[in-house]
This record gives sequence, structure tokens and C-alpha cells, in this order.
Amino acid sequence: MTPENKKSPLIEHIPATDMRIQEEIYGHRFGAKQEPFMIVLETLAIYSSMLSCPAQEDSQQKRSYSLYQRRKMRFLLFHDPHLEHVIKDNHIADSQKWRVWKNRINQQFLATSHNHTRDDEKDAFAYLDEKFSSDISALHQAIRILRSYELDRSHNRSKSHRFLAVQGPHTIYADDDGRQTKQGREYFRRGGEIVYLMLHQSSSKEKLNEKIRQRFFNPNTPINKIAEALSEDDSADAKSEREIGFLPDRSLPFEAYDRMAEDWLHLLNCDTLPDDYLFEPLFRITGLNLVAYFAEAAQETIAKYDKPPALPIVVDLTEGRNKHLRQAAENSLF
Amino acid sequence: MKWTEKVVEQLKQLWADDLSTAEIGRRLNMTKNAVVGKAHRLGLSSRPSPIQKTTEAKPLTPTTPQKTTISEKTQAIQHNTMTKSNPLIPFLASYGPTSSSNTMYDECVIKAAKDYGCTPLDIEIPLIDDIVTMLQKPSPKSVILTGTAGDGKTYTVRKIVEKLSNNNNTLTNEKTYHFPHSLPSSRRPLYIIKDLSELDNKDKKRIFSELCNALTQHDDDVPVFIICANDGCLLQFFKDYAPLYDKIINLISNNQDNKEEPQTCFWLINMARQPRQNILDQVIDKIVEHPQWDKCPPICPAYTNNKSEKRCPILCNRDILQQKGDNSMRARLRDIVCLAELSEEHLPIRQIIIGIINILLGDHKPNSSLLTCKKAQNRTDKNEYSLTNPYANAFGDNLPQREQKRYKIFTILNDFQIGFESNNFFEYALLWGNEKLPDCFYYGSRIFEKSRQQYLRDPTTEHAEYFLHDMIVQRRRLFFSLAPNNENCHANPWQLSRFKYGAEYLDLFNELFKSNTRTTQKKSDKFKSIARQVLCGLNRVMTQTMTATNSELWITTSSSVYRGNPTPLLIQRAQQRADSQSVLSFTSLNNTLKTPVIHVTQKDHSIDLVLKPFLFECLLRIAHGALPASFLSNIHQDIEKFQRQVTAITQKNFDHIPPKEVQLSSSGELQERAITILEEEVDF
Repeated sequence: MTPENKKSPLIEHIPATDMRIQEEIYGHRFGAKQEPFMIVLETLAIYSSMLSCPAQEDSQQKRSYSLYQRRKMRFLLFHDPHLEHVIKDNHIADSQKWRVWKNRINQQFLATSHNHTRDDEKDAFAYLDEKFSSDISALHQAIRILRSYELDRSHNRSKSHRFLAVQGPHTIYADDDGRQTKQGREYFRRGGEIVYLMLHQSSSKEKLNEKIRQRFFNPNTPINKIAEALSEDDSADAKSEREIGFLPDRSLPFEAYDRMAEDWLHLLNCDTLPDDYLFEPLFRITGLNLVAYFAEAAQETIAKYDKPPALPIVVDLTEGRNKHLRQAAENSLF
Repeated sequence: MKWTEKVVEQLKQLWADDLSTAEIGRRLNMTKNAVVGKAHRLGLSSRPSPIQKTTEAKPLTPTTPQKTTISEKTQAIQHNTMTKSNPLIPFLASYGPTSSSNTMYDECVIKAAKDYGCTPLDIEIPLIDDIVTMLQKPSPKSVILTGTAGDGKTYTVRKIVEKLSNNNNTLTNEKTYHFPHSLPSSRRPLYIIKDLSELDNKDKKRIFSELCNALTQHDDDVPVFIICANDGCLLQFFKDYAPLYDKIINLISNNQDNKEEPQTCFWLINMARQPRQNILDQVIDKIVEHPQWDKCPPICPAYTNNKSEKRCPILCNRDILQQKGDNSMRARLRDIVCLAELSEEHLPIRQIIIGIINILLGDHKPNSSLLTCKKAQNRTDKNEYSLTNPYANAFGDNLPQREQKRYKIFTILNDFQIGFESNNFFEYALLWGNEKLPDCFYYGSRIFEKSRQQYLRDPTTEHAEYFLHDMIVQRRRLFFSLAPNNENCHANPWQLSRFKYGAEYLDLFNELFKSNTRTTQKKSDKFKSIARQVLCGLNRVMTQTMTATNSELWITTSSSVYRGNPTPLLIQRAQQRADSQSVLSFTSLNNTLKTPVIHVTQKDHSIDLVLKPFLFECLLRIAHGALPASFLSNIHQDIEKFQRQVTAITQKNFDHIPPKEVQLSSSGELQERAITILEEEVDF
């Protein structure tokens, strides 16, 4: 299907794929129905991994990234009913509440086998003792505040798949929490990987890295400090690994990479916009950029033009029937 | 029937008898037209029409001016004492909502003034004297008058011409008017272009270089120009000449007054931004106290005193407009114009005049918009006062929908939804009667009683429809007849409109208007009470609790978590004391008509929240119990923007202080609670 000079070395590195259509056209697979904000969340997750330990710049080798699972923090935030019960229970003396709660939560947590990090671990939440000085109301306050920073709360997702607003390195974690045996791809469906790859191969890569680190991964934000207090040390935490490849060397879509990077940089450079306001405009502009990239890649694959005409973006149709939309799309491509 | 010999003979006979063709037709069993045709073909002598013979010549009334020539019109005017009409009425009607009132308004009314022998309305604009004085100085500047349609540009230049020439000359209709004399001190010629958009390309080519010269060179020989144009037209005209273009854009967007600037050769005046405190009162007074009201002929049957059963509706409406005081129509109209200005809906003078004339002369009969003397007599006769109701005319109800939408005054008044809001007190009072509420002799129970009784007896759908319509009219009447600050708080007329807290807003505005930045006057108790309500509403929105805290502003982190609902964390409290770290204040307006603004100042930075009427209304409703989520997202966006900006500078200035959790005490006051885990870290 592809002419010889466009053969991408990527294909050898993706093991045992039956269908390689998306990889051929767009350079990477993307999951349909991944919501735009999930795409950028995934991208930021990849950045959190890459910025902390940069991989080698070998274009031939496949690359991978790993994300912390932060199971214990997530358990505290989304799975634990005992804290509320213990706090409200008047029969338990205040000085005993911490101990009682610890017992209950450990029972539930350690009951599931995959939660064991070490076989001899009796108290999975021992790290909280020192951090909170065994003060249960302080712990409750911290959990209450951090829990309210959940993204897209109204959707009421399953407890294992809730995400927090990215306000520091401790607020981002893997898509799965180790419960499933195979790697979770519930929400991180590779859309973020494409965005990361595009940004990483753009010409403003260095500036972008710096800005993302400054705006999204500042460890001193109050929310990050709370998250850090609630999670165990990174050294003790488990990680999930993923592999991503790289986008092929192409002439046309390089514009697309630089375009996306430019948009990101412009937004990140907006100093009047506080850090927590960046997420929404970022994912919206990313969505638009992805659509343009897919269309251009499709155009190139059809290879009808030596220099394809610029793609119009239809903003409004006076007669909104699908037939007209398809007609307009066909006319522009052919 | 056929024209037989016999029938023709009969026709000739009847024709000679001088019977009408209709009668002949009836007798011969023919149509009138057949008779006429046959007579013509027969060549019978034509006879004068019987209609002309029997009635006398109709009097020429000044109410149909367009069908007669000028001399006949002046004749008619001289006859007005014989006829039952006052020429003032059609003259005033020319100021009203007619099709010609959009373009060439000033020219139109001057012509009407001449035709009806009335003096034109003379609104005082202090600017006119300023310009005339400037023109009479040794080095006068050219003047550019800009603004929207209806702001008084043509009127101003006309007055300037009259003043400069001591009323010997007046502005003509030429595109470029050359003032007959040179200016007194400087001896320079004066040219007036009364509408720049009237100049076509040829004219423009002719005068462009001379005009640019006059506006850019400090030369004693160049003529002085006075130009009237709206902003867009002005910029379009000079778009090819960069220095002027840039200068003009600068002046317009910064709203500066460049009268005293020595380096510019022209004075740009934006008529839309001129201070006009008493414009509504002036307009009303000039109309209702026009000297020619005494020309109402005594023989007019409707010219009775104001307690009689049958009085001319125009005079009734004039009585209503003449009332002053806090419970008058004039007062509420003044309030509405003020609120519109503060919502940044500028009302040009023309629109105000149109509105007042419509109140005075509006007529709700189909195919009729304004009253004439004859129509007024008719309405009086048939007791049809519901058709001339000024309280409905104020909203343009007498005009067809299409016409109504063309005039900004009606759009703005309708926006207030007066008559469509109410409360239990008013509904009960209107349904069952209440002596404490004011009644109007002509427009109150007189036009309301019938449908009310009908409805009470039999509330079927049909009666209900009429009744509901009449209720709206009565609510509108009450809005214009009650004072806001009476003993019964439920009888506040603003409750009948969308702006239930309209009175509070105007009180706040008036207090700030009078206050001066230089003098620190003590604020009145009323002001403090209103300020507390505003703060309460803001706190409720910003902390997402139904708090009662109203003495300080709690600055909290605003949330921008995508579709999330993070708990607001307190960053700082802004107080109204000058020594606090964040100072909360209301700006003094120093007698300028500007929207009130709340400031939060920290060190050198200051963030503003513009309190437009709509935002104020929402905040006060929230302070009195409405939920913030029940309002439009624009309001949230305005407050969120303010919150975000304040949070940003606070965090920058005080970033070593960790945020606090916000809690509500049992009495409803906000309390801060330290976030233990963050405080502990700081202690390290």
C-alpha cells in the first residue's frame, strides 16, 4: 500500500498487529471515543514521566514511559468509606479514632491480593502516622479537599478510574491501579501518545518541556502538597509501564507538529491566566489540531496532489443535514 | 334590460328632470353605470354632480398638510380658531415616531415648525456656547462633532449658526454651508458640513485636501470647518490620510477632551458622551410647557378642565407628564434612562423626544399611531380612553410590532418587563381593590372596572384574557404612580419590573455620584446597608455557601477544574479599612455618569468589578435567598473573572501564606480553618 520511500520503520517495532491502517496513515494508533480532556490528561501523564527521567534520543529504539499507580492515595480518596463512619461515630473515643480507622482500612485494603507490595506488610498506611501526627480530623480535612479536585465529577465514573486536576507531579497517575491484570486502557487510549509524539518531534520541544514543567508540575502548589502527604513515597510505589513508538519522518505533517507546539506554547506563556485555568483551553485547541492533522495525513495518503491545498475548516452549515457535510468534505478532498 | 326606443325616451325625460343617475337607474331597472354610459353616448348635456351641489366646501384642516400647498396651509392656520384644532399638535407629532424621524430629523422638524407656526423645541446644550465662544477667539479651531444618530449634532450646528449671526441666518440644507460672514476675531471663513455621509466621491475629491489642511495646519488663512459625522463614517472618510486617521481613532477610543491641546488644530466632541444630567426633565418641560398650548381653541368640546368626565386625552396625558415628585411618571422615566445609561445602552436625545411624544399622542386604534385633534375629540366622545393610555404608549404599544422594534426607546423600556412582574400585594390590590393605591381618573378604574367585574363574575377563558391584558396595563400605571420609598415595602413599584432592586441600585449610584474622591465624606446608613447586601451576595457566590457574612469580602480560589466542583479555599479577606492588606472600596464618581465599581486594592494593584444594573440585581437576589445557579452564566463569568484576577495577584503577593478551608458557623458567618497538613509544613 505504501510506496517504498514512505515505508516507516515503525512497523517492525509494533509486535503482532493485525491491522496497521491507522499506523500507516497517522503514524500511530489512536483510540476512538477518547474524550478530548482525556487525551491531554494522558499527554500530561506521559510528560510527567518523561520530564522526570528523560529517555535516550534514539530514533530507532522504541520508547516507553511509566506512571506511578498511587494506589494507596486513590484508595483513600475514592474507595474508603470507613473514615466518614469513624469520624461520625460517637461511641469511639477521639483518641482511639485513628487506630480504629487504621484497622478497618487495612482489613479492606489488604484483603485483595494484588494490593500487597510486600508479603509481611500488616499496615499499608503506616506512612500517614508521621505525616498527620495521627490526627484524624487533619486527615479528613486533607482528603475532603483533595477529593473535591476530581476532574469531570458529574460523570460519576468507577472508583478505580477517577482523575484529579493536574496541579503538581503527585496529582497525576496511571490509568489503572493495578487491579486489572492486563494494562488498563480504559481512558488512556493512545490519543495522548500521539499528541506527546507530535509535540516531542516539533522544533520548540525544549521550550515546551520547560513551560509544562513550570505550569503543570510545580511541586509547591497547595494541592500537590496535600496529594504528596497522602501518597506513600515514590520509591515504594508501583509503576505501570507503557510502550510508545515514534511518529514517522514525514514532510507534510511536520507543519502539524509545529503548529500544535506553537498553540501549546502560546497558551502556556499566558501569564495572566493562572495555572489551573490552562487545562480546558489546552485540550480544546489540541482537539482542533488533531482533527487538522488527521485530515492532512489522510490527504497525503491519498497522494493526489504534490502540494495539497489547505484544508478549510467548516464552521457552520446553513442547512445542517449530514448529506451536505459529507458532500462538502468530499469536494475538498477530491 | 335593453335600451329600446321607449327606454331611451324615458331616460331623456328623467335626465331633463335633473334626477341623479342612480335614481334614473332604479326607475329604469338599469345600473347607474349603464345610465351614465348611455347618456354619454347619446350626448346628453352634462350636469354638475349632485354631491357638489348639496354640501358646503370642507374646511381645510392643518392635520392633512401634505395634500395642500403652503399658502393653503397658512390659510388653514389662520382659520384654526374657527376649526377645533391646535396647530401645536401636528407640529409635535412631527417629532414623534413617524417614518421620517430616522433620517433628516432636524430638517424635518424645522420645516414642520415653519408650516405650523410653532417655535421649535429648544433644548439647552451648554456645549453650544462653548463652541461659539471658541469660534469668536483670535485663533479658533475646527470642530468635529461625532456620535450616534439622534445625539443632536445637526441641532447643535444649527444653533451655532443662529448664535453666531444673532439669529439673522440659519443653517440651510446644502451639503457644505458657507457661513455668510467671516469669524469676528480671526477673519477666517467658516464652512459647515452637516453630514459627512452626504458627500459623494466628487464632493470629497473637491474638498479633501482643503479639509485635511484645515485639520492639520496651524495656519491663519485656512478656513474653519465644523463637521458632523458618526464615528464609522468619520474614519471611513479619512482612512486614506494616516496622520488624521490615527489621531481620530485615538481620541475616540480614549474619550479624551482635546479642546485645550495646543498641537491639534481641531476639537473632537463625542456627542454621545456629553454629560446630560437633566435631559429627561428638560425634554418633558419643553414639550408640556410649550407656549403654544394656549392655542387650544375654547370651542373644542374636549377642552374641559381636569376634573370633568370628558376631557381631551392629549390634555390628560399632558397633565400626567406635568406631575413632578417621586411618585410621578417623570421620576420613573428618569430612573429608567439612568439605568439604561449605566447598563451602557446609550439613549440619544432623539429617542427620548420620540418616547415623550408617543406618551403624549399615542393612539392604539388600528391604522393610527398618533392622535390628531380630530381623533382626540372622537375618543373623548366615545369614551375610548383605553386607546390613548399613556402608560401603554410609553412602551410603544400603539405602534405595529415592526415599528416598535425600530426605536431604541421602546426596546429599552420593554426590556424592563414592566407590568409582567408582580407580587402578591399588587395582585390582590388590583383584583379586590385597595384604597391606599392611587387611582387615575381617566386611566385607572375607569378603563379597568369592566373587565375586572366581568372576570370576577365569570372567570372563563375569554374574560380571563381581557382581564389579564388589562392587568398588565394597570400594573404599568402603578409603576409610574408610586414612590419607591413608602412605608409599605411591598408597594415598591420596582417589584412590578425585572429590576426588583432598582431603587437600591439608584440609591447606591446617587450616593457615589455625589461623593468626591478628594473629600472623605461619611457614607450614609442607606449606602452601608446596600453595600453589605452586595458583599453578602458576592461572598455567597465566591464561597458557594449561603453565608451571612457581609462586612468583608472573602477572596477564595476560583475553580476551573473541568466539570468539577472543587471546594473554595480562602486566600485573603478584603476589608473596607484603609489599613488592611486588601482594601475593598467603592469608587467615587465625582458627578460623572459612570457605572459604580468595586475595587480590591493590594499594594499597587487594583482589580475592578463593574457593578452593572443586571449584575447588581443578581447579587442582591442571591443575598436575599436566590441560588447562584439560577442565573445566567454571563453573571458567573463576570464574577469568576474578578475572582480569578484577585486570586492571581493575591497569590503573587502573598504566596508564602497557605490557603485556608472555609466553613460556615451555625449563625451563618464564614469561618476560616487552617489546613493542618499545609500549616505543619510551613512550620518546618
